[in-house]
Amino acid sequence: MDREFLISQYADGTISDADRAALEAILAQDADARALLAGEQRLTRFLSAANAPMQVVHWDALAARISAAVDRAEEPAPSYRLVSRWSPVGMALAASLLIASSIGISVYLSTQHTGAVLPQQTAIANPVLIVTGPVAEAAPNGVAEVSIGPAPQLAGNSDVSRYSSDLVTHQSRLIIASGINPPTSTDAFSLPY
Amino acid sequence: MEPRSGDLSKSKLPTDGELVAETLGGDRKAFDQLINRYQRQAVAVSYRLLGNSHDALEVTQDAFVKAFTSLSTLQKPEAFGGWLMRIVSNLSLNFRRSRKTRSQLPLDDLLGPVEGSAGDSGGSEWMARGGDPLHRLESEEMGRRLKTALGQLPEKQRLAIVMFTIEEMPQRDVAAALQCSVEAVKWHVFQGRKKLKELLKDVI
Repeated sequence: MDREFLISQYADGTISDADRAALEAILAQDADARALLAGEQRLTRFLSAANAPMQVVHWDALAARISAAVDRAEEPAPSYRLVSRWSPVGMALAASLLIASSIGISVYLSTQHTGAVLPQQTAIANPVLIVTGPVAEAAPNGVAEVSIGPAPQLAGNSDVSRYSSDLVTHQSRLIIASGINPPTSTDAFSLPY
Repeated sequence: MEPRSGDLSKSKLPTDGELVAETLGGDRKAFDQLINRYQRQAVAVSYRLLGNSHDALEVTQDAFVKAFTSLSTLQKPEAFGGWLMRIVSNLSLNFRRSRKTRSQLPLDDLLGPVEGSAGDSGGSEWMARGGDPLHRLESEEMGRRLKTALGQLPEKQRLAIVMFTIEEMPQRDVAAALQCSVEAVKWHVFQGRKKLKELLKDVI
């Protein structure tokens, strides 16, 4: 064990009997060990001397005041031994239910709070996405680009333009690859966003 | 080795565990016995951490109220003392942050003059008793130096030094307060003393 640690314990009186005997044998022969012990003893004296005295406390009056404050406080709850009563599986299930409930409530409250209105699909009479032509077959290397967005004929439809601005923030592009020959142009895989 | 006697189980007084059980069973008077048993230690520890008698009394009162309302969460009723000191130390360490917003309790009636001296400014009872102004000034300076040095220690070392070395609490209670082993308390005390020797080398 570290000699300095033992000397510190010797100085504060917590050294074991076995270590005490061994350390005293060392102290009898080793001037450095004795110097370390002297330093510990000086610190102990300083700590004792530097203790700031408190004002006198009227302990009976303090106890009465604390007791009155305790009387005003809530009674201690009978038990918090949930952990020992519930199995880990039960605790996990309870926690899962709590989390799921919290998420549900949060989503519900957020929609209530923001007043968000989900799109009414039935309100749109025409399809939003139209893919025209067998472009994949026409592509020489088996790669085609398909643009996704409002059909041109719906451009003037206010419902579509409103939702498309929310749901499609960029002009989306879908890359379709087929056949056994890989595309030679890396540009074909460079999406524009 | 546990040279400091804090063990009440050998006396005829009820143990801490018995008093905790009686309190939880609805006997409020049992908690009053715990108040009487630990209020001095609580005030002393808080005072060493805060350096102010009023604040120490306020923290002590808050600590007992918190202990009472949380008593059923105490896992080892026999370790009430250490558990209470943990509450005291936590409240003390948090006290400064909330000090400005707290209303001062009227505590003056609980306090008398400083023991053995004329001031409460950080001097030593040991030296101030002589009444020699020079010694009193020297003692007050030592108190200030100690307070500053303690403030530079890591929290666990500071608490270990305050509770064990200065207030002479049993290592077992300090361990309960710091939520560590007795061996860890010894190590914190050792490291704390080592740092204090370095910080105070010009005055010791």
